[in-house]
Amino acid sequence: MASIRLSNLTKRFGPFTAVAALDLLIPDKEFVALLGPSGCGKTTTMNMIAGIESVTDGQILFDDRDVKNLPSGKRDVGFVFQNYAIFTHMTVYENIAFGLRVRNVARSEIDRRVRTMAALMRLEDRLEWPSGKLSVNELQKVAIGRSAITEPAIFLLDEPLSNLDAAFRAFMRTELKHLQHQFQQTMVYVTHDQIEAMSLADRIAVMNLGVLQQYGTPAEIYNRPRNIFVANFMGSPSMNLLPCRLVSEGSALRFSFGEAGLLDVAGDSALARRARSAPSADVIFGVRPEDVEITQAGGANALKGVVFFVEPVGARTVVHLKVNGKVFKVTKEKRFKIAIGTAVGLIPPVGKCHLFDAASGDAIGAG
Amino acid sequence: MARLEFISVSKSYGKTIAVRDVNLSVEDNEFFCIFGPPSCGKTTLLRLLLGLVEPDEGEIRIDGRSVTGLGPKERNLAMVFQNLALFPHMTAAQNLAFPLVERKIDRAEVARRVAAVAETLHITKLLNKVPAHLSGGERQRVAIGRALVRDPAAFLMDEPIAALDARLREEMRVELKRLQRELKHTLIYVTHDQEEAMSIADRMAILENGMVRQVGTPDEIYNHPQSRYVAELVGSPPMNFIEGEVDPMSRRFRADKIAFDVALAALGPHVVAGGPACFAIRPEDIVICAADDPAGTVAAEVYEIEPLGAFTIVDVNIGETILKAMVPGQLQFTLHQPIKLGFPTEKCHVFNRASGRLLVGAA
Amino acid sequence: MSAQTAFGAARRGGLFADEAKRLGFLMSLPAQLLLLFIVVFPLLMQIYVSLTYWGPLDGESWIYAYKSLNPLDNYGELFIDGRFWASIARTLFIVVVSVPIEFLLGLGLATLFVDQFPGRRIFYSILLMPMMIVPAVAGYMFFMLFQSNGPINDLVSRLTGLDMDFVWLSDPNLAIVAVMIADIWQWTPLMFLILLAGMMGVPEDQLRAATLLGANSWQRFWRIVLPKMKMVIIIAVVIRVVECFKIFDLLAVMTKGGPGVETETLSYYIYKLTFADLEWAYVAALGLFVLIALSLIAWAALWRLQKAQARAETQPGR
Repeated sequence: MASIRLSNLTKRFGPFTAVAALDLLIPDKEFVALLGPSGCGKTTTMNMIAGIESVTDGQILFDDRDVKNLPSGKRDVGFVFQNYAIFTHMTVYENIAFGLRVRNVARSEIDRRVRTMAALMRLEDRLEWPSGKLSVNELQKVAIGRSAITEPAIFLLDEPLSNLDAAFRAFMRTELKHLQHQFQQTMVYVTHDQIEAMSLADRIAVMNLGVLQQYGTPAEIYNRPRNIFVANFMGSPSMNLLPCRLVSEGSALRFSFGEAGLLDVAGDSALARRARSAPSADVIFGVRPEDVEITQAGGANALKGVVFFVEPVGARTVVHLKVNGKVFKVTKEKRFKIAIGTAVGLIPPVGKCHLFDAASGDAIGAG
Repeated sequence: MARLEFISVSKSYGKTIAVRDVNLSVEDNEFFCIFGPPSCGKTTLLRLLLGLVEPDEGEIRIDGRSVTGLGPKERNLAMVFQNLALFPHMTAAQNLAFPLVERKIDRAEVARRVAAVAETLHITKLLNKVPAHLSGGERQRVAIGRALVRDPAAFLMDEPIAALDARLREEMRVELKRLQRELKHTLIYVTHDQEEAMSIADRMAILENGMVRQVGTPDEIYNHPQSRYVAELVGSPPMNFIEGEVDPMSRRFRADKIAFDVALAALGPHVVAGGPACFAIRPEDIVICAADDPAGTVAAEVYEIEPLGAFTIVDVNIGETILKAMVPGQLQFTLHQPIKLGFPTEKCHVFNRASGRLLVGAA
Repeated sequence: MSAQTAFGAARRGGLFADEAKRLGFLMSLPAQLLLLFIVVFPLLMQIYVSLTYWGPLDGESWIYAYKSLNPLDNYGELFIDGRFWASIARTLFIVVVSVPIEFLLGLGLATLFVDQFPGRRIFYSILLMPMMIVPAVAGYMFFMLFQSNGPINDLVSRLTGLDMDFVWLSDPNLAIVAVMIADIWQWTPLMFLILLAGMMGVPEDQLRAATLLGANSWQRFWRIVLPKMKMVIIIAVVIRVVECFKIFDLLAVMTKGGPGVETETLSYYIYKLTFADLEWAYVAALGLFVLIALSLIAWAALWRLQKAQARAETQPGR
């Protein structure tokens, strides 16, 4: 059980900065996801926590203890690799027992703990199998069991679900979360899949190009993205982003979208108050696909859009529209029917709109 | 522009039966998906259609004409491979012209057709680039273009976008659908990704071990699966299943091991009292209500919560059986919170546990 | 209709398959005949000669060897030939001592060289050099080094302060040691090279996983590196055992099998029989005997290996 504090953590490979002055506090027993596209520095960060990668600058503290110079084997971290790194010349039993064997734990004790772990991971009938014969799904369970058996204070997982098939991934998501509640360990989870991060983590650290973009609970990240990168990265389909101009109309505030129309907002609304703090009148207006209402064309306070594709994806229907020549998506319930080519009005609810500065991409008026 | 038919087609390789007794007809101008897990016979169907292998039994017809014995060239079908198979040393234009040069068509005509195809696919600006300098999506379009210049009767595609990353795949899906609609060609599309198949197909066929299990529109497949196999294969998160039996008298389903007793819609003719059955419902069709709400019929507790922003997946525990329920929006639950679940009669399915056949369908 | 189709397809496929097979057979026929000639003919000739007393001094072509036909005399003699059995024992002694030393030295060096260190490339090139030297030249080098007034005695004397005067190559006990030292010097690099290649092939991520699970470097070596190198180790050792069993060139230069017959190995004994004693029929029998004996040993070893493998594969699995 340990908290992890990264302060001013930096990693450079020659002239390339992989992680830039990262400050992050991962509280004890929390499940934190490092989320970002490939090359954002998330894996490098985790490797530094594990001690696989050296630190260029900054500190890594486990419970106020600096571990920067501690070799990886002494940091008491469990690590699950993306490709699992199962010892292919050993049986499942020997794999799971490895961490205890190298600690010279008594044979009977090893046997007891391996069997307990196997039961927990539902691998009892696989114990004597050579690990080369396991399916990917089973390898993943062995990898987790092998790391968990030494009861490390900190558990690090590097994209552990990315090789699994979709159905098992959905199942493993739940299982992992449940395991974390049982083990009561601090878990750090690296992923590029925002759905995994949202569903698993207590907190998400969104990274891009080595820089931390936002750190918060899934709800905070999803509902109050701090900049366009975060807004665009979270959610599937991603947030609709439209450039627009702010114009004052007496007491009301007008969002002008050119050919797509206008939105008038009461001057005392929260959105208007936020908009007034914008550094320039050129802003990016954002709204999530599930928040938009589709109405008949020609209504007041609605954007003009034309349906060009309707995509049924199981539980939901994604309606693709063209607004000002740009793609705009709206999600509706399954079996929603609308003809391609229909002109419609789109109403973004005032309370669920996002505003970003067009120049910097930062959210306007976000707390 | 062609109608393609498989009539009782079977094909074996040695002892392995790759395709057995397949009857399919793909209409003119249709975007038709063949969907199934790996090695279910999808690729063999394409190879049969292309004429790369001959069926052991049955026949294949293109526009009502049997093509038995015709070689791949004479069938005039165009194939777009997963690895695209573009020639790396040739520019996009040379790649596009390749099938025509092979056929000894005169130069002016080749140039005209390449230009026309490039126009349709919006790749005119890319014509002088070699594949290495094109993005994944652009290469895809060149590959489609190369198939298109021959003016084939139909397109066949084998997992053409499986190698792209998730975001690009979503874009290419829309793009492919648009192209197919504008080009007005029959397109047969093989994929193992259920979401992809659901999203672009006009109709789809689901395969299992070389047999066609169900053919229908994505809506029919998703909402009216005729077998447990089909129900399991489409939808994410996957459908929930509970084992138990049907009581035809009271028209209710009772689970074997847990306190689960729900009403069903009209029973089909195959229901046998007490026969082993399997109840199924999609995650988004489960209704979650407060523990004291009379609308709920089954008591459960919250096992895990997965907030996904636009919706929330709630894993609910009914006596050691975990179901996934999906509700729109961001809901607040606490772990182990007692709740009640509602199972709307019109959205419940029941399958025969042994054969997997549908016993009670959703309305 | 459909039956006709099936027949058509089968006939076409069948014909094509047959033709391809026949063509392949015809194209490879010359090579096969050549191989047959190279392998089978000399073997038959050897068997034939080994059953006679034929020798080069008979003044007759080997074809007429049957005139001195004496089916089993040669084979009977080799069983009571003390020099033959002593040469085999000596050869085995060299194999049993040299190869393990080469293996351990090679493994140690490979462990050093698997990591990067300054000057690694230069040391690597220097280390591989002995292997590149023509064995006769290497033999000559050690022949000079081990002279009684040579640098080795000189060095030992200076180090110990005593007047050392080993007559390395003429001492019945020391000569074989000198030969083995030369062999180890020359062939440790090969062992090192093969073992290093094997060690580089041990997956980095599994080693890293072991480290993170708390294994120290010794445990990593013992539990991950060595088991993963099993096949490479077997190959390296087998290559060296086979090569060492044939040891000849170092001896030819350093000791000529002497003093007396004290360093006479199997190869060297056969060489002497052939060129000094001109006992060609006996050599044929002896060679055949060794070939059969070695084949049996190899076959038994392979059979055991296969059985072990089969046991591993019949474990539950897909």
